[in-house]
Amino acid sequence: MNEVFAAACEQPPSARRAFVERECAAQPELAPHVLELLDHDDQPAVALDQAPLAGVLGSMGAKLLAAGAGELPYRIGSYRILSKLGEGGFGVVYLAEQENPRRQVALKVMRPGFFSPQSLRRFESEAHALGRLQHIGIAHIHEAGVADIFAKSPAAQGNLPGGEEPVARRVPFFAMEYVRGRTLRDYAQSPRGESPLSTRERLELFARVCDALDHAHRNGVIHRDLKPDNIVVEERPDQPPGASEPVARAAGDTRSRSGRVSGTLLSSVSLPIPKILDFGVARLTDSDVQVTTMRTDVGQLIGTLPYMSPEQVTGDPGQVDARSDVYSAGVVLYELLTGDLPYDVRSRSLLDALKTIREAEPKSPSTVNRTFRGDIAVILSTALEKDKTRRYQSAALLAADIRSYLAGEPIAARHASALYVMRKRLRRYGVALAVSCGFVVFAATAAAWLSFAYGVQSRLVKEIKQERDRAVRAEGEAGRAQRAAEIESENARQVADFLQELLASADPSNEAGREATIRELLDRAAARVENPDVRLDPGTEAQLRRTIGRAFTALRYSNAAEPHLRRYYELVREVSGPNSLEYANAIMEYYAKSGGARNVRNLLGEARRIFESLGQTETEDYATLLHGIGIFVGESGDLNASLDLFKQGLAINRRLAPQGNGHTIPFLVDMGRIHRNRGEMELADSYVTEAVALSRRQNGPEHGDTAITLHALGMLRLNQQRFDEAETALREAIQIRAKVWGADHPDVALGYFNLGGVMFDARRYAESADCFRRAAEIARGKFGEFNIEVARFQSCAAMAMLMLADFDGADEWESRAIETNRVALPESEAYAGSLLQMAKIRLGQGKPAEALAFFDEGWSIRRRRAEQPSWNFGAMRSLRGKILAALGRDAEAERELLAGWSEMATIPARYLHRRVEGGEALVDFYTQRGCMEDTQQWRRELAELTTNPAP
Amino acid sequence: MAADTKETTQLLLRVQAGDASATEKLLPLVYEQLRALATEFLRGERRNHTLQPTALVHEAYLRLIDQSQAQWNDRAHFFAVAARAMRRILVDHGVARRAQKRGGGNPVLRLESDTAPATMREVDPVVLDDALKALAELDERKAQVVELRFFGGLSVEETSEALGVSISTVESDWRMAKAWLSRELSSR
Repeated sequence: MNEVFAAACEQPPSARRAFVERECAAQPELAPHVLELLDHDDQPAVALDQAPLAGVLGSMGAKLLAAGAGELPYRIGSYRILSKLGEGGFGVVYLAEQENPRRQVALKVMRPGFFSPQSLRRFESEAHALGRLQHIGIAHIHEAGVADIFAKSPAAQGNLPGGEEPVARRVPFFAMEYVRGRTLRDYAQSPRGESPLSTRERLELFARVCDALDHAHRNGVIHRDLKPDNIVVEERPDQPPGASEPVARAAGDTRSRSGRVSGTLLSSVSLPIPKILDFGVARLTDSDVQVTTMRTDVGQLIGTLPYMSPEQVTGDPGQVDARSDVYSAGVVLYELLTGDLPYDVRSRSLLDALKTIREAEPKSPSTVNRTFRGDIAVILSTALEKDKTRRYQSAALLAADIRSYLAGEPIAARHASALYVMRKRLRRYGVALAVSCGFVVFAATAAAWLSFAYGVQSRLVKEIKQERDRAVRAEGEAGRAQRAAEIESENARQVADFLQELLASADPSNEAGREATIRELLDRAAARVENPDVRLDPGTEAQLRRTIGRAFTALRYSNAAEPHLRRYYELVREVSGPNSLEYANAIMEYYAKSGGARNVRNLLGEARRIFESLGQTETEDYATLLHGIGIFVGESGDLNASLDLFKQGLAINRRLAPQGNGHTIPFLVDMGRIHRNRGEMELADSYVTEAVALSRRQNGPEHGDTAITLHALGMLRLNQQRFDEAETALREAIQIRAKVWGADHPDVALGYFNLGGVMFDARRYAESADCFRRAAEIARGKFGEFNIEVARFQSCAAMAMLMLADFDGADEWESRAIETNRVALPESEAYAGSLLQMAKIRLGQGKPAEALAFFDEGWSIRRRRAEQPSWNFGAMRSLRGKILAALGRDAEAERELLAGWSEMATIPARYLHRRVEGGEALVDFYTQRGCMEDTQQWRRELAELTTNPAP
Repeated sequence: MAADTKETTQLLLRVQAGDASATEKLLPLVYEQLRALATEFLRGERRNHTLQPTALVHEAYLRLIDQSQAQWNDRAHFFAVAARAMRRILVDHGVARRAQKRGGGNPVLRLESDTAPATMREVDPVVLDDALKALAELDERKAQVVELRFFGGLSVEETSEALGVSISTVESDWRMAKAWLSRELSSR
């Protein structure tokens, strides 16, 4: 390789390529390497032999000048040097004391030999103009000029031959306001040693930088070198305004100059004050292009380049104006928010870097951090427009958009097209959302999202915000929501952005005339989060999963919610560890929202272990956990244990929230249910009525939870045979659900189903049939014909119609139920019930042979399933007897009818009508066959049964 | 700089005789001398000189080595040590500068001229130092040539003398090393 390279160098440039390829024929893989080296030989990217060290040694010299042991200059001009503050791009910065007025200043001293006499004159006149710039956000330039540097104190001079001799002459300097603070970058990382600033705080701080920048621009001064190192945040603990500090002086000056600005200043005295340093300094040092080119400190350019606007790097000074500063400010903001630069220019060659700045699109901030999408991304991209006419035309406009964003108002730079899409859809979703907000995140999201789209003045936004606040309050008393709201306000924004992207991606023209539902929207979100191409870090994915899961749950789509919430707690376990409180909380979230899904019981056990090991037992979450375990224990049959757990949990809840809160309600409802099922109606009544009252107070009359309590009340009243009250409660529950979740929601169907039951028990069969049919139709609309719930509702409708002797109607509805159940649940009680009911229908239709076929099929299933005989068997035998009688198989019929009557001796009062039916069947049987004695006897039996029903 | 010229001269003679430990002892002395010279220079005490490594190295030689004791060709060995010392000074300085600059560690960029296409950049000694270490792995002599030429400011002749190789070898090494470094540094 060496030889080929050396030999190729001897060739004329045009012949080199052919030469190398020929020489490398044996080792063709070598050729590209050699050619590449030849390119570098031809056009080296580094200057290894062009007076290479001058610049480096120059800057080293400045350092040595300042930092040599005990070699601090004694005095520069009239400023006495106190200490060295740092080393800037073009020289050294000292803390110095000015004689008159007596104050401390930051003295920037250029490297010796920096300027020609001509450029020094210009320097002085421009510095004078800068001195007139007064703003609390701008470090004031007190004086600029040239001065001699003296190394020794006057007392020491005497020892030196030749008196006071400067070590350097005519060194340019600035005396600037001395700002005590840290650079913007440092400050954002740890303000006063606390945790890093939030995005909101960063934006607020940055908006004030823009104010200062705008002030300078309006005074005709361009910074030209805005970068994070040039913005220092001043921290002045408890310093009263008007103290004789330079900054306070600046504030005072400004107050006298501009009333408008002073308002801002006075109110912000206690706030950290960002101050822009080196205003216009770049212009001063740039003023002589030759000087700049030759002498600009190499280190300075590297620090500055990423913040330079395209027009700056093009090198046409005439193109640089206030909007160039807006661009630099955009880069600073980008870095402040994301911790990264919009372009990767530092690792490139200069030519590449310049090209990048002029041509490349900035990295989408969301690729750095997914939080920064939506408006933030738009603000950044507008500030970073290559074409300065498309940028924010002033720093004030940039500040205004940042403040709009912070206030949740629409930003001016939002693209019209996106606005259109958002507005169009959000109006739709907004309406539905406003009424469905029993949950924090989705409401917060929707509010943030709506306000992006069309402003806080919107009534909907206000409603949703209120709804959110209400939800937060509801959760809030135990401190849980406090935490949740904090996490979620950040999270909500992230999620809002996610959803916004989702919406923006949908083309409204493709869906003309069709109302997209929230469900569709959520399905899209779910598909997006599942999409492996959408890369999410586990933390963000967890948040999104939770939000999607919550939204599904809030709409009562528990099945759709479950996988998302499961993934959520799995991710939290990954991120926070299996023994963390976060994991336990995530389990609780999963449990709370997904209901009784798979493996929840074990999970709850895990959560219980974590809470107990961390001593977190006096919390809402722990109480809720006990409630959850109580549910499972109850389902497995141990109602006492279940009730004990509920009592424990309720006791904790009562201690945490003596007035009751959202978490109290499930305890009350479920304890009421258990007591009701045990027949302890007074206890049940007290719990359930408390639940209703609490939910009305806590959640308002139109809330999903209130509907649930009303439902429980309705069921209790049904058990108490107080049908009118049951009807009232259930109707109200249905109404609320229809309003909150839409008239076609499955829970509305369930409401009608239960109301149908009440009507049935109240023997109002026509209304009952009506309720059951409505339930069936709503459910069919939601789930389709082939669904076991739909079949159940259809079968009930048929039952009520059967009571009305509407056999053909009942046939129609029962046939549909049988079709579904035959396929879906062939061995089930549901299918058996349908078949047996169909037997009755056929019997009523006068088709006893068909009735017997249905009966036998249903009866065989039920017998296979039943563990032991019960009164129900008696009812079946009685029915069989009737069918046989209709078929004229009298002997068998009589035997079945009599056995059925006996077996129904233990029938509960509620189903007494079944035994009555059986007795009536016997009366009919004997009447039809002219057996008057038996008829008389069975009439007496029947009369006795109805007057003295106790079994 | 009260370095004893006798001591440094002795050390240099031992370096020439191939005593590696002598190089290690000589190096810090040369380092200090060079630093002091640069400081003097920058204070304006030596206004008649341009700030060039060559000048510093030559000056350091005059100050450190007793001319009456040393042979002419000892100078080349001194230069080799001085080039290394210079390299260290510049690298130390570069590292210190980086430590001062938050988010440092980037190659130094410099506008070569605002009219011509700005393809050249001045070398950051720290980056160059790293690249030179990589080059030394491949071809130690080429790395030495660069050290002497770049950090020591030695001419081709002086380099050839210091390394004991022909001038044409130094020339071709230098040329290829430059191309190699150019490629290496522009890919960082």
